[in-house]
Amino acid sequence: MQHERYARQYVLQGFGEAGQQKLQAARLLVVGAGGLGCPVLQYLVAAGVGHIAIIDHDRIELSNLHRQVLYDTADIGLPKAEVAARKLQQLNPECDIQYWVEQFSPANAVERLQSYDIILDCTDNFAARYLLCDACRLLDKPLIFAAIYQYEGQVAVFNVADTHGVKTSYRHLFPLPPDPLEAPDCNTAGVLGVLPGMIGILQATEAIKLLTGIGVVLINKLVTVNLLDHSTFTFDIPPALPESSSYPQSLDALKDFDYFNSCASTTGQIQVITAADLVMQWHAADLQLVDVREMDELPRLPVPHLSIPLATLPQRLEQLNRRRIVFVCQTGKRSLAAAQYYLGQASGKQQIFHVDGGIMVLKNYFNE
Amino acid sequence: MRVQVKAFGALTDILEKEFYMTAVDTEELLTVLSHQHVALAHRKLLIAVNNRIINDPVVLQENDIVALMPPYSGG
Repeated sequence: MQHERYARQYVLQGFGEAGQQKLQAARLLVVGAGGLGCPVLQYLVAAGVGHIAIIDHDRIELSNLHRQVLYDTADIGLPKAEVAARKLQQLNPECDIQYWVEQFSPANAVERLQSYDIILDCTDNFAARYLLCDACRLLDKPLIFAAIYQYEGQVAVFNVADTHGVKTSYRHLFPLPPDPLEAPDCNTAGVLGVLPGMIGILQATEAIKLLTGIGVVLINKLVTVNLLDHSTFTFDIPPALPESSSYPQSLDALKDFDYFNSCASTTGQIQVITAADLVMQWHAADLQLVDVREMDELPRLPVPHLSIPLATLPQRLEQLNRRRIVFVCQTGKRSLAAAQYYLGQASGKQQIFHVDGGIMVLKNYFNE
Repeated sequence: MRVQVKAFGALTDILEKEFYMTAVDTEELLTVLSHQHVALAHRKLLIAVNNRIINDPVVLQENDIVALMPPYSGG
């Protein structure tokens, strides 16, 4: 092979021209062009993957740029898939790049996945992740999964047989989606900018290994990485898929499956109230303010309220008897947990709120 | 059996990142923790004993390491 662009790669022992040719022949689909998608795309296009497709319906926002380093400030407001395709084409004009500015959905999933060899899950929400998991399982497509939270990442390779012929999927790890409040996304939980870079590069590495046959691929294993303490763990995924009738078993069923509601069953029912809104109405007769901090935490709330430490909430549910229940804690974490728990217990006639930012934000209004 | 528990991701908002506790099996371990921490009850989480993810309750041995991990959604 006489190709200077990839010379440092195909001289590698074990990789060679054969490896480079396998990359050149490969067809990869990257679902999501955000934090994970950017490094995945950059490295795979640079490495010489022959055909790459991108699907993403989002537009570039200023708050994306600390981690989505494929984009510039001047790109704000433009569709990610379109901008990514343009920049990647400049990076490597030899790569055949296709893109769709559209949401990955049950309606287009099968059509989009069909002609690709390997799929990379770079999505940022559970609806898309479970859809991708089911579609790849039903189409028998290798799926390279990654997900991130604050300073931690997860990576796994699904739907590829190990030496015993066993294949696993995301549903082997988490058979059913969580309540979205249990697993906040980057927008609410925050994320260190370098995290998706590191995790996305691990994902791209697994794609290259799988395509070229080098090394040991993360088949039926889940790797976790924590950037704060350098801890990494590799977990074995069990071969048995926990039985459940609550996900589609055929491609026809997949098209009609409601991923968006099955993954967001209760989000609409807990409302966030800002400190500024709350202080306008915290004396309202139909509103009950519930402080779920421990009894000795400061500062105290200077208005009438119930003090029910989170751990004792199950024993004191009957005290929550007004129309609007507002949970508050120090920073907003425990109040969200309380609201989530109470939602499962309440009659449905009450409105449930939690105070965003908690008393740390509310205290700015205490003297007014 | 005294085991080491490791919490991952958002579970560290509820639990210490690492701690020791006593439980006969993983079911008892989860029951005890859910009783101590309301926010843990009914959460979807993955349980691994000594780096093996489990689907069904497993009897614990002295010094086992039990990992509790939530799904991450970020990308």
